[in-house]
Amino acid sequence: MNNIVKNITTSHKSTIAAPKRSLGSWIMYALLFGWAGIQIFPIYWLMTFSLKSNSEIFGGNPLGLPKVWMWVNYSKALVTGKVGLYFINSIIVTGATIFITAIAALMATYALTRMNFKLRKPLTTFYVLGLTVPIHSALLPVFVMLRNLRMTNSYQALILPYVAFAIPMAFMIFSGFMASLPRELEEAACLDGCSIYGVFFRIIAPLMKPAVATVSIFTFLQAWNELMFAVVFISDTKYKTLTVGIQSLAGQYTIDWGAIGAGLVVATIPTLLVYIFMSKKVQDSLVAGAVKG
Amino acid sequence: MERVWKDKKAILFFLFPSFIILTFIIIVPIIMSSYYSLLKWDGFGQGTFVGMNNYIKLFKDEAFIKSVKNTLVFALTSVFIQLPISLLLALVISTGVKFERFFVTVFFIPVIISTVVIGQLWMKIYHPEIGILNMFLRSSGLDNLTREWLGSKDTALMASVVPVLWQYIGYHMLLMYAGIKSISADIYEAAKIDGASWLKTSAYITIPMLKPILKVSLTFAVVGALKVFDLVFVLTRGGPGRASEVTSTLMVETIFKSNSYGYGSAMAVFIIIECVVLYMLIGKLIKTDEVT
Amino acid sequence: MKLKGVKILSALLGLSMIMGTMGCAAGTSNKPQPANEASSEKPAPSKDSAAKEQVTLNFWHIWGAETDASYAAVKKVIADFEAEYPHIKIKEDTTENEAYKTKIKASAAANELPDVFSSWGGGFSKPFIEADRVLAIDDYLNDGTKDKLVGGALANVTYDGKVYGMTFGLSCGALFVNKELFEANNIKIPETYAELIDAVKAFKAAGITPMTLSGKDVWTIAMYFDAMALKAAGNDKIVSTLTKQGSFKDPEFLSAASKFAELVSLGAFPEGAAGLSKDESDLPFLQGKIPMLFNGSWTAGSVYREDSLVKDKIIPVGFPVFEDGKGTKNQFTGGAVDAIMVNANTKYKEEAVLFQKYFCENMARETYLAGAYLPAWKVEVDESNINPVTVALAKLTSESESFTLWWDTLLEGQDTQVYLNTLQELLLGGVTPEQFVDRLQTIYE
Repeated sequence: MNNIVKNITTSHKSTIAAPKRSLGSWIMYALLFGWAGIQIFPIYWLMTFSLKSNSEIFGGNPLGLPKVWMWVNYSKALVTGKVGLYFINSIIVTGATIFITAIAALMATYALTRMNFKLRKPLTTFYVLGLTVPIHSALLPVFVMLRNLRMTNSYQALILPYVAFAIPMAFMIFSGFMASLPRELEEAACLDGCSIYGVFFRIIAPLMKPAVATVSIFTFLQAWNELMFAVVFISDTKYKTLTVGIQSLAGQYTIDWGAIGAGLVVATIPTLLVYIFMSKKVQDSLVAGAVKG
Repeated sequence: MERVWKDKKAILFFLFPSFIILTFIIIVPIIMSSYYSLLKWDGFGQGTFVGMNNYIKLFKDEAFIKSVKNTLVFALTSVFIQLPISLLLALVISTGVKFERFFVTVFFIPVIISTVVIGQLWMKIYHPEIGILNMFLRSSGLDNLTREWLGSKDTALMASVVPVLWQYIGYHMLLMYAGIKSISADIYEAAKIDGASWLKTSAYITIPMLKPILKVSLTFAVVGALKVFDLVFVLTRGGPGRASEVTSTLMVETIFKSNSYGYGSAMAVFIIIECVVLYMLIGKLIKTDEVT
Repeated sequence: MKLKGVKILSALLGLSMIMGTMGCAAGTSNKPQPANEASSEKPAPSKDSAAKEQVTLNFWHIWGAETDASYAAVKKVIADFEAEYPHIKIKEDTTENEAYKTKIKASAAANELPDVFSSWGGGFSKPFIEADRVLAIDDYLNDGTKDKLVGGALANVTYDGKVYGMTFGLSCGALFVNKELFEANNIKIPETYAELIDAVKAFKAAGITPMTLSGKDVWTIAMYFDAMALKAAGNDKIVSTLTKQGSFKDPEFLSAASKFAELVSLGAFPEGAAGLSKDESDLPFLQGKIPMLFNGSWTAGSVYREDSLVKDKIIPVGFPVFEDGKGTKNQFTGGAVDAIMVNANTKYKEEAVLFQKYFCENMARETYLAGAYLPAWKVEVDESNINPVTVALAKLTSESESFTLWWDTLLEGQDTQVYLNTLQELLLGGVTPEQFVDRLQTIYE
């Protein structure tokens, strides 16, 4: 079984790739690596930024390695930015957001793209509507809503809005992927006596893995980096998130950019790890597809 | 099967959680914003009902019209420059190049770096004296091309467009890459037997199969552009002299700085309507098999 | 079954919406109760406090960053207060300055303000006060508090004759000059506008950019223009015009705008200043490359920052007077703006006001010692360890006739935006001085 899979993938690769050792492929690789150089630059820059003083960042040395390595920026970020505590809060909030978003949106997508009922079309628009709302204008209404539900100063105060703003995005992506799943699978399962719930959880959900991984990455980015809701809805240190902690390093008239950079490095590493992990799932899905398809 | 797909209880079960959350956090705020948009209201005290006055005022407001035009520049460049680059990258790296994982990871990096940092980076690039762009131009003897990129009305808009487009190339690339990866390998097998080239495979198999995802990407690109805020705010605050003002920056200024909550809400409703209209237009332009 | 669900949902929805709109309507207006207790009460800890109800006050403010000169002062004053009044616990929440403005506005709108919070006097807090969100504290001030304050300390927190907040520190605009650069180039530190023009020209001739500002952080342009308008028109006229009892079309404002445009056309400000952030535009000044910066008194802190190259080289002076102007050299921009306010709906009025007064009185001393503010209370301190620029500022303003509040603080939200946006255009050369005053005049409409 594994061998077959391997065969399919490797042969597939050699076919589709541009012919090797030709001039064209040299140019292609040169361009790819050139672009990679540009794309990798921001992370190098963030790292050096986090180790500099303001005068190096804004003065003569904006791009090079630090002249004086300001490791103290990290202790500032970790101690005064309370990055440790806030880090855990961010993980709780982001984790819950991804989990709820993925399940709720996947279920909704299934009903809205596969099942038949009268309100399907208007409901689809209803789901997409969330994509269009400017987050700043939603601030006060959502705040009032949370207050009336007695929910400010809690993890839910962030999780619910984050989920709500992620569901439309997730729904769009899921429906794009679900469109390419053949219905035959479900029909076969149905004949085997599987219930609609069984079809969804046992057949559809596993097949949607690459989409779920993609949605997880995007939801992670949204929730992990969100700032405005986190500032306004939370007034208790217990529930504050990482971005708020990093922002609090900025003073009224002076901003210690190096310390902020250090906080951002700490905040970016998990993002990078999550991305590498999840994008591997996306890549591996080819193998999964080969087995099933 | 048809009976199963019409199971009302199942439909309710699948939709219920998301429906509740969306109603409370998205729909109610939309209704509240629509209501606010009919008021002259500072956000605190008692508002006065002014009917459609805020909307009439919108279309006479030069700053607002300018911001809508600028926003459309973001949308158009996003569709015609950013998405093709993303698609090309996704097609190339998904079809068996060496170092695939390396490219997938690295090409996404700008998306995961905080906007604040991306903004600071581009401020270093654009700085009139010590910025690399002007330094590069000077050292190549192109002194007459140097500009005050973010400080001049002529260049501020395009100087904000470039970083925004660049930062999200990886975002769309990932979406398309995942889409390509979920196309069944059997189809490629068939193409292989026919001896189709990469170009042909892409044009006749991958892209048509990718249509649903391309539509998603297109929608995200357009809606994202119409709501663009963060990076523009960091780079120029919409200035100088409104040269790079987009609807969101103007709306935020109106609501939070000018305390014109009613008028700002009218802008928010405008953005929502604008997004819905373009979403429907995209739906009309790109027909996919599934009604989504 | 399904129908029922829908009904319940729509009922819920309707309910929460009604609650929502109610929440945004005006809050209940509260008359302050006379405060005999708070004022006569002497701290008698331990024994007495056991009998007292334990109270926790939520206090929101903006001094949460260690880089802030006020950071340690706040920590100390709160710790001292809790030691002196053990039955009151202060629960702090800090937010970054700009984000705080959004937060406090949203919280005021949703009637979710904490017991005590920091805010700003003038136009910023006016809507909160009009919506009855803030406690008037006049009745609490007759215990000698007023005598401890310097003149005008409550001017910016007084609305319709009632005091709604308490201040502790004073900030003022000053021209910070690098005396070493002036000496090295043999240029006189300007006292009049003509001398300023001479200095600008001389520095330009020596290849030095004379002054700096950030066109992106627009308030830094306003720092200059506020001072120039003051020198042209004098305090009384500025106040009356900004409070809409006058006209921006009077020649003084045109004179100020023309002079500002003159400075721009002489190249007084850095190339590309319109696109620079304050961090970027301040740097050459702090590196000793640009000799003049007009900004707030907090600049003293930056001058003595770790990486500053201009320590002991900077002296603060007033903005040069205009030969044809009405403002004197002892009129300054600024004032006591940072304010501490009490929520009108707090459960613990007495305790909140007690804390408000204690905090401000002690912050006045501590922040002055930290070099963050000039004191708005009469304080006696040993000045030898204070930031020398702050001490020089205190000396400079000791003979002050008036402090004119910054326009972007005095004016209300929308008018502020008109002012700042038009000023940015003036810097860019997008409007002429004549058009500039015409546009300012639109805030009367």
